[in-house]
Amino acid sequence: MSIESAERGTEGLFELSGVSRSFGGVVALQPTTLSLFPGEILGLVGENGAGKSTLIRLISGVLRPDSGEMSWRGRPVVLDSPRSAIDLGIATIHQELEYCGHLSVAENMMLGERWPRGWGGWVDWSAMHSLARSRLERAGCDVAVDIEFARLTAVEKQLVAIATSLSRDAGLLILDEPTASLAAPDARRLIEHLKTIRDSGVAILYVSHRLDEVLELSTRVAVLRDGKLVHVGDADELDGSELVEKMVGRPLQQVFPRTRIPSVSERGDPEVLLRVEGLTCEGMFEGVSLEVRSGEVVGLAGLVGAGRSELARAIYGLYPADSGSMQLLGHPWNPRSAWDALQAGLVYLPEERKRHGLVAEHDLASTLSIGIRDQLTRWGMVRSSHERDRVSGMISDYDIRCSGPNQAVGTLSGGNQQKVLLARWLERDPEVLVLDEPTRGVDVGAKAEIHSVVDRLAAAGHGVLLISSDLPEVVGMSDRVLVMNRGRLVAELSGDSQTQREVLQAAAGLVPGGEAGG
Amino acid sequence: MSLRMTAPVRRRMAWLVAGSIALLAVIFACLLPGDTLGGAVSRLGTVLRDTPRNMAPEMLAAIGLTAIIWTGAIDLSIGSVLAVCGAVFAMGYSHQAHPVLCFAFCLLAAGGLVATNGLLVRWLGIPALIVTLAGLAAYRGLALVLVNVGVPGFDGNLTVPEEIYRVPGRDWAGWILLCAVGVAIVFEWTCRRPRLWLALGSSASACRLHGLDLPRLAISAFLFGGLYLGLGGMLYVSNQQTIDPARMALGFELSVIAAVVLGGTNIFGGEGSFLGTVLGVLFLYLARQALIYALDDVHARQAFEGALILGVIGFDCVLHRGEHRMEELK
Repeated sequence: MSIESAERGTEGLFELSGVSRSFGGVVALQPTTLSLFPGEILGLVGENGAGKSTLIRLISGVLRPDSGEMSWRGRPVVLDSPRSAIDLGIATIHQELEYCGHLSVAENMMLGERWPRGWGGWVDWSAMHSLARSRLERAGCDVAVDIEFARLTAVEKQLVAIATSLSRDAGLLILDEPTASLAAPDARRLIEHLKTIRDSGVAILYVSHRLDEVLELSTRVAVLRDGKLVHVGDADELDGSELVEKMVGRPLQQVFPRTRIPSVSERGDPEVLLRVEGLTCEGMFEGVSLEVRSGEVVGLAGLVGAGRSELARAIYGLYPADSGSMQLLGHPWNPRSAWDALQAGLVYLPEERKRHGLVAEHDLASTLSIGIRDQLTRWGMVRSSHERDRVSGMISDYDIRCSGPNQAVGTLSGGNQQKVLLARWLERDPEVLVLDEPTRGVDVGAKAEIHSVVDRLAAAGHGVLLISSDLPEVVGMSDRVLVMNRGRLVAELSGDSQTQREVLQAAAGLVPGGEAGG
Repeated sequence: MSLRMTAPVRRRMAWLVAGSIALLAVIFACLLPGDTLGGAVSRLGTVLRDTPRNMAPEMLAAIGLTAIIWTGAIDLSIGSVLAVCGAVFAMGYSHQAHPVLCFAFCLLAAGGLVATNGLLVRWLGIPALIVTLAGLAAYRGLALVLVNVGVPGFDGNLTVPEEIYRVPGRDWAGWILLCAVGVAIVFEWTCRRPRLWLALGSSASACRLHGLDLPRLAISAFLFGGLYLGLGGMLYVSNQQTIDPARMALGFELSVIAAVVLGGTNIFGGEGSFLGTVLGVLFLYLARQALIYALDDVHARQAFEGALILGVIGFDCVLHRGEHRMEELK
């Protein structure tokens, strides 16, 4: 029995005792001792690279520890595969859900188990669908079970994953950033659902960068820093700033820096850099009109599926618009490809950086220089020394923490990957930036740095369209906030009406006093 | 009922059905000049009657390969595996083995070799493309070694005059094909294993996290593929009067892969259907027949066949380009 268990007088459900793990001589997790108890939510926080993922992968049987022991209900266990963890009752829902998109929801839910059989030993599809439906109903999730899994929305996928885990009688549920891709109301729905699960006696290990959620939801909080468990304690004893301090090892003040003084509204009538009028892309968004002016950060809020990312991609030239018009820097704007946008001074930071932004295997130097390849070549040949200098400059200017320009970009932390993407495009000195969820999955330190970059850009006269599901971010960073609902722009909020409550109401379709349109 | 096919697969199948009907019309139009209407109908009937027998080896091999491709792997050595089938058949025949035994050798040889490919791919982790490219050369060489060593007086080819050895390929091919296709489709629609093969091709990491045994799953697909290829090999060999392992089934793998892809199976795995493959093989076979009647030049026929494959897939892609783009960006 661990010290924590002895203090509580109850046996831990799952206990780690001196568990450590290294990769090629680099210590990812120092010897760690930690207990999880039935019916509690243990919040696990730390900066990117602090060792959270390693800990999760050890508990879920994906990795084997170099040293230490694990026990389940007091008995020593060896978790040598995900199967062994599942059989024990440990279910893990990873940040990036792994699923088979072309298979049905029911098939995905029962991938690792026996399927109901009927006559002749053949699969009884109706029994299987009934079983899947009943599991979803028990988990409070209303989703069709016979459609392709890929057709579900992000929150539906999360709920199905949780329902699947619970149906396997999981005693311990590990959730890695479950709300990272969810809009605020969906995240709220999930949090309420997790409370119900906790009350049924399931232990939950909740990993998130959203500290307000962690503090609200958790019974206890564990903090990892540089692979070391630096704090375990009751959530009630901490507030947000103390938690951040424990995570980064220093006080962190400026989360939403504001150096843009005077604000854009006080500067008269600055030049309109991007104007969108009545833009429609059938099935995605309809009649959207907006303006982004010089020195302005325009927030674009809304629920997942509201059409924000689709609008951003249409502005960037990835989707052809069905009707409406756009102007960039005062000229008609009809992009036919991303290259048109880059040439015209418009850049786009995609929502899913791993899928659409980076090639994980490429080194940092080539990832950074690809955005300015045209500026580095002479007679079609890349000038290596020039490339080296520019890359070194970008690494230091944007404080990208890496071992050197040859490091594979996929091995950088999430925050540093995002800084790489920003640096890559900012080096082109664009006039307008469309940033789609720029701080998703990024730790607090890197988040503050990204906010600071955005603020500096606006102060220098660039126009920024900031799409974010993080309400404090979109409200705190923007000069005004446009809200989308079901493909339409339903509100424009600024000044006193620019609050999280108003944004949320408009996003949910309860339009407040704000006026839509740019 | 399972979610049997995704929308793109269903759409491709509809194209293939329409295309096959159009090709039949082309064949009929080619038969009409210089013949009466009744005569042309009778000759079209002969073409249709011979269709199952002639396309049986390719269709069975294509069904086997479909299962392998679903898992995200591929087998490029199937033409050479058929050559080995021919070699073991020739060895059995030359040693006066019973015909049933000779056909059993074919099945075992194909099943064994394709399963070996599966083992090398999944247990040793060698990419399927590398393993089966090596197999393409190695198995053809093995076939030649086997006939040189195991067939007394072998001089490049072996003639099999006895009719009894040609019964499966000539007289039973249609029925064997019908049963095998029926079994494959029922298997796909009613059993868990084919869905897991698709799952493996769709996301190996999802399968691993759900605790599935990946090597076993992949090898079972290769075994299924080997069984169907063996059956196809048996029909192929028994339909030949002369066995020549050096030239047998040359380029067979490309034709089979083309049919599988035409049928809507994603070449990278995770999506497709046996019925689509069946329609893909039928379409290609009818296209070849139509080209035989329409063009005298063999090389021009080959060029047209290639253009037709590209045309069907390209037309589908162009027609749904917007959809593909959205999917890619989602």
